[in-house]
Amino acid sequence: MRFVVALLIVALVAAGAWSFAVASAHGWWMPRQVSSYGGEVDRLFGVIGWIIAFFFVVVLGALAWIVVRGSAKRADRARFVHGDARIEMAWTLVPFAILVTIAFMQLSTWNTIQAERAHNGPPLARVLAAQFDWRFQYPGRDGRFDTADDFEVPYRLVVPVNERVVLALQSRDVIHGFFVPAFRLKQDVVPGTVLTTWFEATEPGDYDLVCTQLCGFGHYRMSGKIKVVARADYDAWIEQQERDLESNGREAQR
Amino acid sequence: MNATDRSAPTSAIRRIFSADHETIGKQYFALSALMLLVGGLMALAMRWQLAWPWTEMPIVGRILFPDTGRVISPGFYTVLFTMHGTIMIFFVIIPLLTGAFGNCLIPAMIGAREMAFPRLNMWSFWVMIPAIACLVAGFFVEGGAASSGWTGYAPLSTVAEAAPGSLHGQTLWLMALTLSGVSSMLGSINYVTTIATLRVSGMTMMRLPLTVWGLLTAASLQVLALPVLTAGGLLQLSDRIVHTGFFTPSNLVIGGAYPDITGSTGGSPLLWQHLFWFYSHPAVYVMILPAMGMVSDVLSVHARKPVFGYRPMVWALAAICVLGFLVWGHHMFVSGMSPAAGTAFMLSTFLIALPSSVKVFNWLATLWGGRIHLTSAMLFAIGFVALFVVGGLSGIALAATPVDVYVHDTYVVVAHFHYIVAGGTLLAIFAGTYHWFPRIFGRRLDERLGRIHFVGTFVLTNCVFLMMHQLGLAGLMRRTADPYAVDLFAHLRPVNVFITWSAIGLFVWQFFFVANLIVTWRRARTSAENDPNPWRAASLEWSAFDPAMRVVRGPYEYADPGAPEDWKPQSEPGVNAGAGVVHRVSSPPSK
Repeated sequence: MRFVVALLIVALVAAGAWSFAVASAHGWWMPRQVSSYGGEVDRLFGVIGWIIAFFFVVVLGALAWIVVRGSAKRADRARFVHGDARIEMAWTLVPFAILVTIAFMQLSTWNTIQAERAHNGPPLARVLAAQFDWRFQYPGRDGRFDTADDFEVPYRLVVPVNERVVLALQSRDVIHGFFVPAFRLKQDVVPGTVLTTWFEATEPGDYDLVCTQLCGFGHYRMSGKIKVVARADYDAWIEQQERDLESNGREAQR
Repeated sequence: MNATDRSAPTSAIRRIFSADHETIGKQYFALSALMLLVGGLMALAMRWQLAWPWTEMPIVGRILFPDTGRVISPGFYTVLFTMHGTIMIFFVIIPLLTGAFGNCLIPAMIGAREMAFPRLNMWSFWVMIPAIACLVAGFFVEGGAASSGWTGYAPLSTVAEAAPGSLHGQTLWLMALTLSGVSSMLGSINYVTTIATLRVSGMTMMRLPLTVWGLLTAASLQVLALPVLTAGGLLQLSDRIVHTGFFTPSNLVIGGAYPDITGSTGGSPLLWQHLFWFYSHPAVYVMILPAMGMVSDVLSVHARKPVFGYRPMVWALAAICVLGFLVWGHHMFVSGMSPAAGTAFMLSTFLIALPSSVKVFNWLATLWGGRIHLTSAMLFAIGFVALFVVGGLSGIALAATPVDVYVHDTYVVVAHFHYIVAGGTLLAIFAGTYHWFPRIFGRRLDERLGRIHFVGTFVLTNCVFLMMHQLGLAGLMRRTADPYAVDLFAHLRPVNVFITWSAIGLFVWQFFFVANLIVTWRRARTSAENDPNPWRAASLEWSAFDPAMRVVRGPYEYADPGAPEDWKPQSEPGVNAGAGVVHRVSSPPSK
């Protein structure tokens, strides 16, 4: 039986290693990051991941080995020890040092991600979350919100590439979660308050946006897209939206 | 040894509404096992939906979902995970650990004849019945049962129009939660008082078995943290019923136009999160501390070796207990809480990883050089250590704020806490059941069935939860009724199908445990079962109650080369035998 137990534990280690090895090949893994701080987040995850992997293998390996060695059939008794202060010291202080080191490694990236929480100027756009869709409000040509040239678009947020994009997150009903996996960005959207967040996309393209905070029965289908385009295309898109807005306005007056 | 020995013939009502702790413990076992079955079936329903969303459920679909064409509706899916979480935490794990094992073990292990407050103890069980009634009633009211998650975040939970279950179901859910809180509170006060005052002569705090320490720290957490949840629950109830605005901002619009919220006043949704997690994070430790204690006992007894580092083990439990109050904010890193608070909670969370890792190393050292008897109890205890290591290590990634921003509210979190609670605690509960079954029910469970039960449970638990890490890393959010509604997650289906088959297998495999109970129940009593101490364990619960006995050593004196046998019982028969009173600890003799 002790070999069965050791086999089970070794199999768990192997399955863990295998599942992570095959995961990226099948896309069961973090999507490629395309934001300014995404690389830092992935690097931190990598460091923690390897530390986890090391202790996963060592601790479970030790457990399997100890079980195999500790046969009950041996005639002599077990070791009569109650503890050892020096060993306790060692396995308290070493993990302490590792944990504190990991903790302090996080600080600068955490501050980077949270850097725009006290943003004063107007955001690039307002994110308007509601059950169960995302809408995005732009300030228009004048760069100011709550003026006549504001316009709203559903589902797709258009932003310029390689620029710091600040968003103001608002909800009109319940809490939603603004999650863009490719940017490594997640921020809850809390009703009754306006939270700002930011990212800087590094590659043009369409990226998925999902809701990560339970917001009701339609939670699963509350998704959107972030379209990252070159600055010139962004300006052209804004112009197009403004022209549409004006022509719609004229039609409405007619 | 228990009430039936000393009381006169009693009526059926007296036996049912018993103030005897062992009877209450068995009642807790029965009730929690029933709820475990319900919670498990709900998990299977969710797994069905996640592998094959919106497809007709075979066999039971016709009965359960006649209105929706035998499929789970999106609304009912939200009810399922809300109730699964609520039932498993408040009506399975916590009552099993504190109610069932606490009642069956605490007095026996400390050498007390009974609990400090037997009637309070009885009430703590019977309050669970109306709590469950409220929970069940939710399914029959307009709008259905609560559907805002076991976390009940406002304003989803406080505004009737926000979710179907928030119409009436949430009110009943809050009542159920408050009543189960009352139950835990009554039980915890009783345990703390019993351990503090009714220890037999010579049973110093540093001679308590680690199971008692685990239960004591868990009960202390409950006593100190539960009032906050109860108060929070009452505030949420008042938000719902008399429309106060503790947690609900003032100008919400469900459907319709987008309001101007720049001048918003009213309640704070984050306040509920703080109050909720101030209790519910310590509750996470309530669900693991007694399990840690029980595993320490099982490992020591079946390895025939003293627990390595008893005092560090006690200090680790105490450290987890204290630090457990300082880490609740790590559930709120992306909630909009101040970034500085996020930093502080990250640091405290990294610190609480330390005592847990110390415990793991001490368990390994306890086994090292032992004479390991791989009984069913021991197998489950070793399984607990392995799975706790996995769950603990993934916690490091979750504690790191920038990484947590990515994995927060994804399946990484689901994998993490299921490795701790379903892999860890539930395996520890099985270990405790196999180990103490002879003590509680006077019978030994079948070892062969027990081993088969362990192997399948261990393998399938990993099959269910291991690959959830990858789902979460791919970005899949939790609580989604249909992962494939977003193109980004369409390729995750094979993983989900595998997990669902594994979950079905895990559920079916528990047949071996049920079969074991039935076989043990029906077969004739063996002569070996007349042995009151089948594992040759040293702690007090295995010897007959003797009010005059004196505890003369710690609970883990195995393998002493100078002793005639490989174990020395904790107590010696009383010198003043027949005194007939439960001795309180006076000046404790040194070891």
